[in-house]
Amino acid sequence: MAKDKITTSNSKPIAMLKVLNPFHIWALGVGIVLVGEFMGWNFTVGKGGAYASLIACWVIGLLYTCVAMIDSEVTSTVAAAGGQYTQAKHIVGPLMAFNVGLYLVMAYTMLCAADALVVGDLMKSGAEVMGYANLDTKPFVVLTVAFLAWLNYRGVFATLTLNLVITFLAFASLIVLFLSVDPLHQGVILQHQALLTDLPYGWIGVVAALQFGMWYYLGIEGTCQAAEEVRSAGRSIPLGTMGGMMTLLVAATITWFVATGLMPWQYLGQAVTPMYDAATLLGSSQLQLMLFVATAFAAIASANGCINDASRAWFSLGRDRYMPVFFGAIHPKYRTPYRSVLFLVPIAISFAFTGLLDQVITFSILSGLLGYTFMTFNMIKFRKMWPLGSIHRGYIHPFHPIPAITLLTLCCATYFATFLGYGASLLSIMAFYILASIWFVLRRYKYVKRADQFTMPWPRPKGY
Amino acid sequence: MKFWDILVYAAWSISAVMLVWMVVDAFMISSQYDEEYLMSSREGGEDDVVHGVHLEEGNS
Repeated sequence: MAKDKITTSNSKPIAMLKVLNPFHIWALGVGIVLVGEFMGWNFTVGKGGAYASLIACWVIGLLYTCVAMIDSEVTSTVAAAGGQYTQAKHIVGPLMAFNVGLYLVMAYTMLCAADALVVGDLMKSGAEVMGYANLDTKPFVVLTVAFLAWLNYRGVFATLTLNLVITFLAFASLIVLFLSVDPLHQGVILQHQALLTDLPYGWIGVVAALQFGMWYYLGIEGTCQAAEEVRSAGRSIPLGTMGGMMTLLVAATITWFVATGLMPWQYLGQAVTPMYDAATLLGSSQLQLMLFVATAFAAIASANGCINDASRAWFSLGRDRYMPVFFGAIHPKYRTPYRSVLFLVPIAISFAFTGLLDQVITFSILSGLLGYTFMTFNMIKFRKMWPLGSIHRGYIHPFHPIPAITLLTLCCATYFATFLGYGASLLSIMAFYILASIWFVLRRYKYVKRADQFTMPWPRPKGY
Repeated sequence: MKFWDILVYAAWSISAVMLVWMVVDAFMISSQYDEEYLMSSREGGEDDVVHGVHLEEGNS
């Protein structure tokens, strides 16, 4: 006998499960980022020397602290999947929202592809150490994306609980490495006095280092994608995000301190896995194994968080008809945006199969940077339209508008740094988003239900 | 056949199984549930804590 389909007439509207807590939010944010502490950050050293790397670490740390503060305030109020996309939709307008949604999807999908490539390369390195040369990395790239997509498909709680465990283990490995170098006694293991030099390329090298300084923190803003699945978003998002930012500042500083005390800047600036190299220099096979596993864990946690965030952003675009509404579906059993998860799998694998790790990462970084630039205007407008006291805020960031102005200034400096090293990429990415905006205005916006856009039960904005 | 060759085949096979499982499940869900129901979620879901406060403040 054929069964009737389950419809809205005999069921309540479907919703994602609210099962996450601040620790999951921490794991989502730090999980996406931490791989940057194991590799990538060290290109700052190549751009301007060890001190330039430290300056970039703290200056970009300030940029991301502003991002975390602004994000925490707005997300504690606009508690919906889509994060910055939803914020832009409510505060700025549809075209900005479309662009921000696209930045998010591209940034996370490309970062996921890069993480999967790293897992594949680690497998190849492991095989070489064990005497098997030329291992094909493709099956491990596909396995990484497929397994994490499968996990994301089946539920957010298990997905982010896995992230919590492996992110914590990866972070703990950095602490163990730090303790292993006897940090209180200079000259015993660490050789900062001999290895630290003046700025080899002067202050322009410091500016150039800012671009790769983003590796220390890129992705922490992804915490707000979980706003619709977290219990008490007004409390959990600020706690998880700010806690994550503090963790990353500690991890980034430890990473710089250990690596620059063991390796000359000329080598460190082009190393592929600097933390693994640091463990190798210490001559302990246990430390080597620990850092190898921790690097793999960090890459997997990052890819996992990226699939989670990219799918939520794509789902939100679909739900609001900025993209085909087909992608706005939620799985009735697992309560996940399953079609968006599935849709992004071939895209992530395709990016990964190009093998162009640096181009993929540059696209990801620039998409993130465009998103941070938007946040500054968004924050100013948000406070102007809904001043303090007019709506409930789970968190109020201090010293407004100083963080927004600081963020905009540092974003401009980072654009300049990117232009110095990747001018063609910067211009082509700008062109891509301009073309996408034209497509949205001419071909897509007619499908958007304008009356359904503003869903927050807020009072009328000031001045309207 | 070496261990690494077996691992390569295992990675391809497990990936294929998981991808096929997701595609089949997605089709089964579409056949069992009405599209309108699958896409009936509202922005913000049922955040009774934050939205409750908003509603009170918005109405006051």
